[in-house]
Amino acid sequence: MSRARNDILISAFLVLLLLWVVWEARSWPFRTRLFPWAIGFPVLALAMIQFGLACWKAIRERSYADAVHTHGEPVEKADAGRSGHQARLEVPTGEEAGVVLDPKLERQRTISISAWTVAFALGFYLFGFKVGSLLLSPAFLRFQAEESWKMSVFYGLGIYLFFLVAFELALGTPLPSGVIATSLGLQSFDWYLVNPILNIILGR
Amino acid sequence: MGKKLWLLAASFAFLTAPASGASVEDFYRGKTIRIVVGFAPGGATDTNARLLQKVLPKHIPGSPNIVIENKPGGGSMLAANTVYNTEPQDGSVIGAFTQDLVLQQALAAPGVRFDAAKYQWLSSTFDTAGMCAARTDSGVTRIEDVIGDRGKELVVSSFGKGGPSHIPPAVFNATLGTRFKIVTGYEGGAPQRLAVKNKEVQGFCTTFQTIMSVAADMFEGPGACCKVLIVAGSEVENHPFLKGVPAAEKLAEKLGKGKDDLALLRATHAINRINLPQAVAPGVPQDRVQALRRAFEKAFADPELRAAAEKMKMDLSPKTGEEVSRIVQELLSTPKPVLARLKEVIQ
Amino acid sequence: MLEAFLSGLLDVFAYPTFLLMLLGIAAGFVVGILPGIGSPGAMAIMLPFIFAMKPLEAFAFLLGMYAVTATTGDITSILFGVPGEVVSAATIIDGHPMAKHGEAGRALGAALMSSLVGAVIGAFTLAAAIPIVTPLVLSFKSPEFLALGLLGIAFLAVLSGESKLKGVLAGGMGLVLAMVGLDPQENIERYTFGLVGLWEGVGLVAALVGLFAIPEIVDLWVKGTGIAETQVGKLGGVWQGIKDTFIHLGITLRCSMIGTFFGLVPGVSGALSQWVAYGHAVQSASDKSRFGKGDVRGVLGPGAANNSGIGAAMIPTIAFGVPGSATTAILLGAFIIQGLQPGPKMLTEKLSLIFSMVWLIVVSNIITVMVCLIFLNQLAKITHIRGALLIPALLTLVFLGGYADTNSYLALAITLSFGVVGLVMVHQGWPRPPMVLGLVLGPLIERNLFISYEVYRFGFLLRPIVVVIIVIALAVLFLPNIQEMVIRRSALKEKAVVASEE
Repeated sequence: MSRARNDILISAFLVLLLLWVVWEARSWPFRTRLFPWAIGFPVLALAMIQFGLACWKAIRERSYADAVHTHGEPVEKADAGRSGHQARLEVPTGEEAGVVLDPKLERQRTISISAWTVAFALGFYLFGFKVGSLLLSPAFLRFQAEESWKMSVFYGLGIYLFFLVAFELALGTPLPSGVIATSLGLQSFDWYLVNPILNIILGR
Repeated sequence: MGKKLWLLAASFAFLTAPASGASVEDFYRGKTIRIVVGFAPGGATDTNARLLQKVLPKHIPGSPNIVIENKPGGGSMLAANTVYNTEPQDGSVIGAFTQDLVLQQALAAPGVRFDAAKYQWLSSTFDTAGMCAARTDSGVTRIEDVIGDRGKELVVSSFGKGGPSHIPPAVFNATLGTRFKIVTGYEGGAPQRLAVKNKEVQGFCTTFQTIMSVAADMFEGPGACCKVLIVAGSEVENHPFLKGVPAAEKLAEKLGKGKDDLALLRATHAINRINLPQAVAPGVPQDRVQALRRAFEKAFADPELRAAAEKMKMDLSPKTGEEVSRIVQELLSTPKPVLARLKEVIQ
Repeated sequence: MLEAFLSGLLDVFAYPTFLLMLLGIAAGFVVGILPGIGSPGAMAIMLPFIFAMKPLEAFAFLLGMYAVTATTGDITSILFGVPGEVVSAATIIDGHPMAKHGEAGRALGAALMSSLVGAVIGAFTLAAAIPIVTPLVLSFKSPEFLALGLLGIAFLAVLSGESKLKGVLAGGMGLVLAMVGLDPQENIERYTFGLVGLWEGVGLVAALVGLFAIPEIVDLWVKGTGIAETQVGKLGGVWQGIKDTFIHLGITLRCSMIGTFFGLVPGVSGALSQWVAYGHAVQSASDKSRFGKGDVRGVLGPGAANNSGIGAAMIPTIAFGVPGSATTAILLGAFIIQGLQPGPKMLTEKLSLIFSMVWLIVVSNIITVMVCLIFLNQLAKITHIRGALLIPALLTLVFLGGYADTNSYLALAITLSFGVVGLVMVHQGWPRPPMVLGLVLGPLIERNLFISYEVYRFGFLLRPIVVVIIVIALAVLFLPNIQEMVIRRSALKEKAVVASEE
């Protein structure tokens, strides 16, 4: 997975995207169209230049690699200086690598955290923030991070209580209940359990 | 055991689903009403909602908690769509958006996913009118100065096509022959007025209520820069800023304009009579709608609210939900030719 | 005038004003520290409470809150790489790498102190500018706003660091993304796929948290450690950061002036000034190599600018009713609620109140700094907690922050999308700040371009202030090249002299 090859893909994607941006604007009135074209065309040109550069770099990389292979000479990458330290390690920080990792482990972890991120977003969408976090935080901690059950559950409860106390009680702003509850015409799922308890505690 | 739990949960759901069995008070006790405001906090719609938020709970049976949820987007179109389509329709969600949306629907504007006729209106706060004003140093002192071929051209600032800063000058141009040159693109009312204050443009148009609540200093006092030229509607209220200012419809008659022009003027004026409205979705049960309508009526008469409104220099002219509904129906039944002409005019 | 200045100060310490200010500070603390949840939402929640208060009390509360959030927003930017406030995004660029190197305390100290310096300068600018403020602000019209936008564009190149082409491209994409929504002239949908939720654009907050926070969360999990990857001794401490503020006093002061200037200009917010300040810090440094990897100057610049903007932003808000940001819009709402109409009258009739507001900002910031100093070392320790424990909370708060800005679930999707974009950019070495700048500048430039042309035709280019700003923009763009040329020429001359002597 070479950076140069990825750059080619990205630039190609940008070129296509910008072509679409410019094309969409063709039937708009003058004023609506002006900015998209005034920005779109120059940026499209830049993207094409970037695409060309990325291709050129990739070809050069390939030919140097061939040169090393056949001549066994040490290779000096001319563009190493420009993004040198970044090209060495595939650490997704783009800055000085503080921790060196096995690329395979890194890829695996990137995928799993990305999946969890999407899961969290989905969870908030479906169940709202309070219940979503209550469910997903322990899930993440227990199943992905392999923390203990005690820690996971306490953590989840902690976040839930934080939201309950800080937002709903203190500030009086209920958090959204999630799409499932709303589409069924219900209050958020935890309301049915918690509200009676609160009524007793607060003497409402 | 699992089955019993399911039964319990299901019965909870049934008990709390919108049902006519539960009385209004039972429904609202311990609940929270969300007022979904279609604009960012700090603006007129939002401030109005927050004012009501303080006072309404006392007047709604069950004294529910009320919270404001700002959902800006598309000039409050998003909020109107959401409250109509996706939010619960049990009376726990009130929508606060701009009355201009009714006009948008009448003009079949894109993005409208609600029917103002089916929205159950609860109240409106102001009965106001659109107006146009000019800088005193622009050489224009009366509306007649900008009318007709011999009239001066007056550059006015506007934000948002089809909104309260754009419709008055566009319609006056079409019906009265005024020569307002409209420059759109300002980001909101405040930048619009700034352009007048720093002389980038020579005038502006908006609702009279806006003038009184946030821009009075442009018309009186040491920094006064401007004078009202004309007010929409058929009569002019008694106010120091409006001395000698003609009403648009009267002026149209005086100038011998035809029925079509008058109809256009009336249609665009009607919308400002229900300024800052609030409504609930069509599916909300009647008893709750009525309770809410009465609550709003009582809230507007509440001394606490009146005192706060006075502090804000708000001249309340509230309408009941029933009155608002009537005006909305009137607006939506504006004859097609008038609407077609309006669409053309604001293009 | 002096009377008002002093009585304003005394009023701040009266009861219950002082108490309310403390409450506001406490609230602002919590709000600012929570990543993604910003001051506009929190202040809006407080609005109902101020209906019954007297003007000074109400503002003690609100300003106490507001003055603090810019500072505490920097804290989350540094610790978590999550923008706590829109105006704290630039602090991430160098602040977070410092945290990763175990220098969190130093970064926090620097951010705190520069914020205090900035706040004081901004507040006193507000006070000093009152006599001349009216003609000053009124001279900024649409062409001048446009010129400021173009100045921002010039900074795109500066913010790109070493990869200039990628940076400018990223900036260009930012400008393109800014066009999503209804166009400001004709209200026609552009690139919205029919979604009304996109009519106001992609949403800056959701985009920011996606672009910056999500890659950081991913990185945190991948490397398997805490936020700080290494331990650092005393040098990483808070006091070092405070000293840095004064070691690099030039940057701190100049960036305070930048923040103040942008605050004064009506309608142009701190979202822009933090990047200009950061860009200036980069440009004025002789050794630019550490920027983006943890150069304390990259924290000082934005830290000073976003706080100085607060005081200065009061001027267009109070004197002209033109709010420059979501938060000042709420403050404006608070004014109306209090029955105070913004306008020149405020500067004459309510001078004592205005000065109280100045003092409120200063005192709130001082108190914040003092309190933070007590807790900062503990806060810095958060960077050593293992990442897994932080991630669920971060994810929740990040998505909540994106959501809370517009109260729409669409924001979740936007945050995710920008998260993907951010990940790709970080991995491939595409700088993100230019994209943010493009997003912020797009509407500013488009609106003012059209208005300028409509009202002034091409004459707008000849306006004096416009010319000055454009010259500055050109200087920003070409000065480094000119400097290089001069250095190279004198180096060549030296070589020639040496060669001829041999």
